[in-house]
Parts: sequence; C-alpha cells; structure tokens
Amino acid sequence: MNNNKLLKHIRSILLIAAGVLFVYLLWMNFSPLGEQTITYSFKESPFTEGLRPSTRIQKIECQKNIGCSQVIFSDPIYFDLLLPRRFQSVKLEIQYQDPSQEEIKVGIRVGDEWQYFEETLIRHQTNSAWTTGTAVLNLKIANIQANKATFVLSAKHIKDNAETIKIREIKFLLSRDTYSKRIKNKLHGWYAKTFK
Amino acid sequence: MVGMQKHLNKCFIGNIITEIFAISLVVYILLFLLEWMSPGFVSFYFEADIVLGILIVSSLGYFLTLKK
Repeated sequence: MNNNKLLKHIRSILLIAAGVLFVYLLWMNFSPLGEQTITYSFKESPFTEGLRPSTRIQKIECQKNIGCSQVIFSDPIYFDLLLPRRFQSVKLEIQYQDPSQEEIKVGIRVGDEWQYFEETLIRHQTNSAWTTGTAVLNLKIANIQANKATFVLSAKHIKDNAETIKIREIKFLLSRDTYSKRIKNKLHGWYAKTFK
Repeated sequence: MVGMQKHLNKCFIGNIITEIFAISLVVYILLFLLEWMSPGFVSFYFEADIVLGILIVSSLGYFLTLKK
C-alpha cells in the first residue's frame, strides 16, 4: 500500500470516529427510542449533586470491589436530577441495605418547596446483600425548574428507631413516547378531528 | 535513495499529523459551539478534554513539521 492510500485510510478512520462521536452525542441528547438511564453511584456526576442535607447523612465511603455508598441516619433526604430533555416518567431503582425492612417512600416535587408526590419503594429480593427498591414517578406532574427535578426519600423508622440505611446506587430510568408514537398520536388526533 | 525514502517517510508522518490536527481542531470547535449553544449537550456524555489533548499534541507536531 502506498503512502497516499494509507493517508486516505487514516483520514477516513478519523472522519468516521468524529462522525460516531457526533451521532453518539445526538443519540444521548435526543433519546430517539424514548428511554435513557442515568446511574448515580456516589461518584461525581454531571446529572446530580448527591444527597442532601448533610446533617442527615454521613460522608460517602468508597471501598474496593464494593464501590461507593452513603449512610442515611435521618429523614427526609433530598436529591436532584438534571434532566437532559423532557421525559414523561422516571423509574427509580435504589440499591440499599436496611436491616429493619420497613417502608421507604420516594417522591418527586410537584408544587412549591414542600409539596411532593410520594410512592412506596417496592422491594425486590436479590441474592446479594443489597436490596433493590423500585418506584415509578410521573414527571408530567413534577415541578421541574431549570431542567432539575427534585426527589425526596423518606423512611420514618430510621429517625424513630435510631437506625440507618446504606445506599449504594440510585438509577433513574427515564422514559417518554418515541418520536414515531408522538407522530402517530398527532395524526390520529388530526384524523379524528377532521373526519369524525 | 535511502535519504529520499527517509524524506518521504518524514513527509508522510507530517501529513498524518496534519490530518489529525485539522480533524481534531474542527471537532473541538464543533464540540465547543454545541456546548456553548446548549450547555450539557457535550459535557454530560463526553469529556471534550480528550479532543483538546489530541489537538494540543498534534498542533505541536504540526508546527514542528511546518518549520522543516
């Protein structure tokens, strides 16, 4: 292969890599399939600043093999999520350790400062020492300010019984209608209005 | 003959560096503009400093080969 051909190949590879990067960025920002997952593992994240207030939580602990986790010793706890775009619902998947196995609630801010819509975290048994709790929250009713949704986690028993909850991961599974479904709905609405 | 081959190889490496420099410069400017127009568009998903690093290294190479 002569040098010119090789140079052409290298140029093509570089252009393809640049193209892949831009396609990846577009894909992540516009989520054409209507789904996006954001995981917070108590490491620096552009989407969330972690749990607050600091008076109800311990410092983040990081261990090899296990990863990072944070202990909550009072409630309620708040955390924000910066939404890259508009979504209709969010499924929260929280990995935690709670020896008491009592009810934990998660909610989303729907009104001014203290108005939250809460759902009970549904426990899923896993083989590991960590429990996974899930809850689905409606983002349509949420009070989203500057693309930021605020969540609350409340577990009254930890304050009452002086217990703690250790959280390892918070996963946000965001979803909305796909572009094709939105177009289909609009066409359906237009058809119903015009011909019926 | 050997000297000519060496010169060609040098030119070839210089051309590769020029390609990397030009493409990384364009990519970085585009990433910068996207981030400026819509904050988070790039930084939420990609570390643009990687491209900046490639740009700095290739620019050094580019200017060194330019001198000769």
